Amino acid sequence: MQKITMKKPASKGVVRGEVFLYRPSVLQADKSSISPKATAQELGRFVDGLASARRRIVELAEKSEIFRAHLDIADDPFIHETVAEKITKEYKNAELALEETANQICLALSEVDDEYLRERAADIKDVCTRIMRRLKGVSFEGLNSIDKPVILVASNLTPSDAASLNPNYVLGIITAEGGNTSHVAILARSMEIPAIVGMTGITDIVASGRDLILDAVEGVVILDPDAATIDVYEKKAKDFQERKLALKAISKLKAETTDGHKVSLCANVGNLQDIQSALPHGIDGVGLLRSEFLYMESQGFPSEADQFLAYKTAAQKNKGETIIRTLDIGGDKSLPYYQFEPEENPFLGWRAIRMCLEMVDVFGCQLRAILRASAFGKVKIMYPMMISIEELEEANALLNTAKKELKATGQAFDADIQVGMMIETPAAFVLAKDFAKRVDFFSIGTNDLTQYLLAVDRGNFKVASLYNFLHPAVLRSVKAIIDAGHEAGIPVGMCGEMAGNELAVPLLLGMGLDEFSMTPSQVPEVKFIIRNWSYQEAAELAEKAINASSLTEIMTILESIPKERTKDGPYKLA
Amino acid sequence: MLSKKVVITYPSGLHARPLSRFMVLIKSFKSHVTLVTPKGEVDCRSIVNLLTAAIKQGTEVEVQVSGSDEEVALEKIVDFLENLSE
Repeated sequence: MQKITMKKPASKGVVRGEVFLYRPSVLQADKSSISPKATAQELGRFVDGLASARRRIVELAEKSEIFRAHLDIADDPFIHETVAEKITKEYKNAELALEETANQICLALSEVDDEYLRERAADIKDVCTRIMRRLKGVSFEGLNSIDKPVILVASNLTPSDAASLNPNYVLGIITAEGGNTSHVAILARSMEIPAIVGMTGITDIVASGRDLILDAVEGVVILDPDAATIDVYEKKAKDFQERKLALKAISKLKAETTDGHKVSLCANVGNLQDIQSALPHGIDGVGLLRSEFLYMESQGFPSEADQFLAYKTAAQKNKGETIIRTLDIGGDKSLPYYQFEPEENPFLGWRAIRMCLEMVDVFGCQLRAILRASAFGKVKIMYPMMISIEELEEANALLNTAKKELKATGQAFDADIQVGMMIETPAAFVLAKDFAKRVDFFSIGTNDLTQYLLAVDRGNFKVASLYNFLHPAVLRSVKAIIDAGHEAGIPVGMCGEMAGNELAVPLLLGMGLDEFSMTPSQVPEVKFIIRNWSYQEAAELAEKAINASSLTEIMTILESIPKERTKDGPYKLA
Repeated sequence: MLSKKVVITYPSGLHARPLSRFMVLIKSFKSHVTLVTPKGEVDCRSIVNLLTAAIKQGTEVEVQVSGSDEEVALEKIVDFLENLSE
C-alpha cells in the first residue's frame, strides 16, 4: 500500500477503482526538409489536413463553447500564414512547420501574466495535434477504449480527450499537470467527477489495472490499499455521497432554524469572478466585497469610471445586497504604484480608513463610484478599521460631499444608501453602543478583532497557536457587539473566518447574529448546520459558552453538542 | 481608413468570454480591423494575436478599420470595447 498526499483537490469526492493510465502517443514531426519544388504539394497537404480537422471541430462546436473557440484557432490567419511561410520559404515539411508554429505561440502565451490566457496554450496545442494526426494519417483513439469503470490517470487531458470521455465509466481523474482553472479541473467539477490535478509524477507511479483509492476531499491517493483501508474508504465514499445529496436537497431552501428563525448567508469575495462562482452555492448576497482588487490589479489608482463599472457589475450579478468595503490597504497589503513608508508595526499603522481620510481624493473617487453603482442594485458602504466617532463623522462628511458632487452633475444614486462599519478594533467594540446609533449596520471582522484583542500576530508561528476566535474574550466581545447593534435596532453581520467555522456557527446563531458572510464554498455546510438547530437551543448553548471563563471550558461545551447537530461527516470544512 | 482611441475600462480587460464575442463581431464586418496597443499592432482576425496581446484594464488602444463597411464597423467595435462585460 502506498499513500500520496496532495493539498487541493480540483473536484471533491471519494472513489475506489482500477487505474486506467492514459498515455496518448506524442506526435512528433519529422525534421527533414523538403525540396523547393515540393512546396506547393506540401502546402496542399497542410490545407487538406486543416480542412479535415476543421470539419470535425465544426461538429464538436455545435454543443460546446470550448470547441467554438477551437474553431477560431483553426481559422486563425496568423497560424495559416506562419505555417505557409515556413513551408514556402524555409522548406520545412507541413508537420514540422505546424509543430514549430504551435510551439512559438505557446511560448509567447507562457509569458503572459494572466492564468486564463496561459491556459489557452492547451487549446492551441489541442487544435494543432488534431491537424497533425490528419497529416500523419493517425486515427484518434482518445478515451473511447475505456469500457468499464476506471480511475483515469494522465499527464494532462485536452478538451478533445475530455470530449471522448464517457462519464459513466470514469469514476475519478488524476492528472500530473494543470491547475484549478485548467480545462480538466473545470470539466471534472461540472461533471461532478472527483479529481486531483497537478499531482506531479503520478503517471510514473501507477500502472493500468492497479487498485487505487482517490480521496479528493482530503487530497489523498492510496495505491494498492489493504482490506482495512478499503473498509474505511468505502464508508467514507458512502458518507460523502449521502452528505452531498443532503446539501443539494437544501440548496434552494433558506438558512432557517427548526423553530423558524432566519439568518442570511453571504459571500466574502475578492473580485467579480468570485461573485460568479459564488452564485451556485446559494448565497443570499455579498457580505463583503473587498475593493482592494481594483487597486492592486491596475497601474495607478483606479479611475471613478473603472470603479463604477466594477461595482455596478458586482451589484447586478447577485440578487441580494452587496456590501462594498472601502479601500483596506496598508498593513500587509501594498500597491505597486504607491510607496508606503516602512513601518515598525504595519498592523498598528497607516492603513485602511486612516489612509483614506488623508488621501481624500482617492477616497472621494471611490465613494462617488460606489454611490453611482447604488443606482443599479442594493449596494451598501462599509468602512474598515474604525476606532473613533471622529473618523466616522469625517468619512460621512466626505460621503456627503460625494453625494453633493453627483447631484450637481445630475448623476443617479441611492440617496438612502446604507452606511455601516466593520467592528474589528478593540476600540470599536468598546464604543459599539455609540457607533450603533450612528450607522446602519455592523459587520464583525473577527480576523483582526481576535488578533488585536489577544495581542497575537497569527502570522508569527511562535504565537500563532494562541490565536483562537473561540477564546472567551473574543466570544464575549462578539456577543456584546451583537447586543449593542440590536439595542439600537441595526443588523449585525460577521465577515471574518469565524462566520464559516463549524464550531462557531451554532454559538453565533445563538447570540443572534443576523448575517454570516464567508468563503462561498462554505455556505452549504453552514446552512446544513443552522437547519439542524432550533434558535432556542442555540441560544442556550451560546449562553453557556458566554459564561465560560476558559477556552478549555468552551471546548468542552462545544464537544458536548450531539453529533447530529454538527456537520459530523467524513470531511472537514476547508 | 477610420480610427478612434478607446481606453479599456473593464476590470478583466479584453479577456475570456468577451474575447470570443469580440471575434464574432469582427467576423461580421467586411472591413479589416487592427488594434494599435502600446505593445504593438494586433490583427483582429487572429485569436492568437489577441490572446498574446493580453489587453488589460487601463490600456489605451487605437481601433483602425478599413473597408467598405468601416463606418458602421468602427462605431460598433468602439461601442463593444467601451461596454465590455462578462
